[in-house]
Amino acid sequence: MCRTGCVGLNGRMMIFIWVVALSVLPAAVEQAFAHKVTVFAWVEGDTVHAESKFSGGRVAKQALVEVYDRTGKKLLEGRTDDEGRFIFKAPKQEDLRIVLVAGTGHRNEWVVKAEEFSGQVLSAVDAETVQPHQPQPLVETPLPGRIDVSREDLQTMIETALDKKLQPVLHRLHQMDEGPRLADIFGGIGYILGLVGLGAYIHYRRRLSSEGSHAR
Amino acid sequence: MHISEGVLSGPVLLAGGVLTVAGTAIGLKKLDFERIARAGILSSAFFVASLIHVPVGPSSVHLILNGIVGLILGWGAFPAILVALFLQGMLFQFGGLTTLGVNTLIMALPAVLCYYCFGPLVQRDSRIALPAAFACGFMGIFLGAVVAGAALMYTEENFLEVTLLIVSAHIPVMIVEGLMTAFCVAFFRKVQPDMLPHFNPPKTDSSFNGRT
Repeated sequence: MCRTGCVGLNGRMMIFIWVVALSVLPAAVEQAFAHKVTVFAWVEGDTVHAESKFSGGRVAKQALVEVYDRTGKKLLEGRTDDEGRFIFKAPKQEDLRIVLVAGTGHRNEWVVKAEEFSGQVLSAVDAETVQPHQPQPLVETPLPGRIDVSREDLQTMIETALDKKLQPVLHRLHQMDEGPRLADIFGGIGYILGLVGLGAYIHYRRRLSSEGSHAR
Repeated sequence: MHISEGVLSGPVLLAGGVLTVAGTAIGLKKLDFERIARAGILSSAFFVASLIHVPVGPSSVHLILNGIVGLILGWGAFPAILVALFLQGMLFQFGGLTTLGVNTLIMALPAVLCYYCFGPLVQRDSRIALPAAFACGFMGIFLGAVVAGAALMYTEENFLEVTLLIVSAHIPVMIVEGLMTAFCVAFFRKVQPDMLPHFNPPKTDSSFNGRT
């Protein structure tokens, strides 16, 4: 039948498919992907917030979370909620290893360092206990903008403020996550091409030497 | 279908590693001069394919391409997939070094099986060849899910449950890959039939088919 015509059509179709496939690729690259699960945790006072995510943006719902201390003893376990979060009161203020087991072979962990708890004692002193100091110096000092605060109170205020302000930033950081970068992708392809070259070279040498021994 | 580090028990990791080494050795033996470039191209394709995502239910799955890789490379799929997975592990943090053996087995063993099951069919009449190619892409992933389920069976969960879970999560990918494999096979049949296995060159054509 229309043999050549059909081939031409099919050829054009294949080119079309490749163009579509190649144009989809960068779009896919932008989103951070792949079958990997990540867990991320930060400290707020004495509470630890853990967030889970499959790279690709979806969260791990109802996934098992286990918390271990430095010696590897399991302190507690629980499941993430429908937003992929797991919030718990830290039983100990030392390095905590948070392990997320998302099933079907997906697992990852995150370590909360003991230092991250440093503000804990102070931020437990609530903002209310800080406030009474404020009107007092305001009355005494002649300059209206000047507040006299003790070192500890100042520290507490800074800690609480930072906790509050940093939370969305940390959250956003986790959202962004490190997806594979273009450099990684091209690096990998280059690596494979290098291996091909190496393989071809070894085969070439072998062929040369076998032909050489034949000739002798 | 990349199993993360720290999930599997030692013996499973070891068994996966040993089988992968054996498969890779066979694959390297069978990779002759002409096939090295092919293996490299397919290895790169496999490496990049995992970046193309299909969102499904609670998570998302990516293209795997092990069916077509197996169909074209046969045992050569082992080294090709091993290299690609190693680089994915290093550069994208998918899978990991300790699970490299098991993960390679999960994707390369079905590739080789597909080569034996569907390889002989793709040179036949297109009414047989195209469905066979679809099945090749489809089964590559299905069998991968079965191997993954078997690997996970010894550690946490029960085999049937996990396998069903993985299979059901990958159904869209299976279909996409089946279609892609069918397209590729249709293309190769027209343009370069010697890319496909069991190709018998026409007698008049003294094609460049290796030395000897």
